[in-house]
Amino acid sequence: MGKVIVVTSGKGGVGKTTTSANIGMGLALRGKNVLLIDADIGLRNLDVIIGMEDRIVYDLIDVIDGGCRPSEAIIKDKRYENLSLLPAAQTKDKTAVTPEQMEKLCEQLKESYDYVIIDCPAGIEQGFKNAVAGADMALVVTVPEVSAVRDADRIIGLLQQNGIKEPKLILNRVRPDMTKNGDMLDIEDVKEILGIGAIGIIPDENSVIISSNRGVPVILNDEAMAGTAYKNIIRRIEGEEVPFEDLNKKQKVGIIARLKRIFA
Amino acid sequence: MLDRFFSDRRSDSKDIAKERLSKVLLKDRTSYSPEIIESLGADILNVLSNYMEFDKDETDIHISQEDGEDTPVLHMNVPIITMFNR
Repeated sequence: MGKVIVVTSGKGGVGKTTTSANIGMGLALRGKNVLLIDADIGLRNLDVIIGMEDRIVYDLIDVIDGGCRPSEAIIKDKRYENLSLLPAAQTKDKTAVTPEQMEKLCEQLKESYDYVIIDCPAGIEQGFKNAVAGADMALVVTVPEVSAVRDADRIIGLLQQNGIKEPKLILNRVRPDMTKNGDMLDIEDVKEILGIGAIGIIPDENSVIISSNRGVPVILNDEAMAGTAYKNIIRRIEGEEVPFEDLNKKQKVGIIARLKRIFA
Repeated sequence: MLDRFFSDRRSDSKDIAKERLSKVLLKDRTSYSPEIIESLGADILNVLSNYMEFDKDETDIHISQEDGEDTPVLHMNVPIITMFNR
C-alpha cells in the first residue's frame, strides 16, 4: 500500500508543479514506483514541466467518469519507467470532480504505487478540496514573501481541518545573499511563523527555469544546488535524517563536471 | 562610496515582514465566519439549556480581541432566569 502526498500552497506561482515533478522524478530515481497526478483541472501543466506532454490521450476526468480505465490514461515516462503521470483534463473545470471521487481514486491507485504525488491547484476552493481528499501527507510549498507565507498559513489550517495534521514545509526560491543581509525571511523565520516542520529549502537558481524549459526536472542535474536540495527532500520523505544544506556555500563542482562543461 | 556604505549596513526588512505577518496571521487564525459563530452559539446554548432557563432574546455570544491582548476572547452574555438545581 503506497502513500498519497499532496503538494499544495494556496498561492499560485510558488513552484508547486515544479516541486511535484522533482519529487516524483526523485522518488522514481530511488527505484520507487511513482504516479504523479495533475489535479489542476483546466490548467494542465505538470505534463510540460516533466516533459511528458506528447503522449496524452485520456485524462483524470476520463478515469473518474469511467470513460477509460486508469491504465489507459496513465502514461509512463520514457526515461524512467517507474515514473507515471495521470494528466489533468484541459477542457473541463474543477467542478467536474468531487472530493469523494478523488478519495476513491486515490485509494484504488495507491494499491499499485509506492507513492502517488498530487499536484494541487492554487486556491482554497473545490480544486484544493479535491486534491487533498485522498492525501495521507501534505507538502506545503511557499516562497519567502509575506503574501505567500500568509496563504500557506491558511492552507495549513485547511489541511488540518481535512485531517492532515502535520504538513511539511518546502521553502522555495530562497536567495542566500538576501537572507544573509536580513532582507529575506529564512527557513527559521518561516517555520516559526507557520508553526510547522520543514522538509526542504530550494535556492532560487537559474537551473530550475532552464530545467523547466527542457522538460527535464532539475533533480536530474547533478551540478545544480536546487537539484541537490530536491534530492535531500526525497531522502527526508523516505525517513532519512538529512541536515539542511547551507545555501551560502558554493557547490563543489567535480573535475568531470568541469570538463563536461568545457566540452559541452 | 555611498553604495558601499549602504551595502555594508544590515537591513531589517525581513524583521518588518515577520512582525507584519505575525500580526496579520493572528487575526486570520482567529477570524471565523458568521455561520461558524452562529453554529457555535447554538451548540453552547443547547448545552446550557440542560442546566438553566435563560433569556434567549438577550443572549449574546461573540469573539473579540482588545488592543494589546495577545489572543482573542470568546464573550458570552447569558441572562439566567432559573437554574435547574436538580
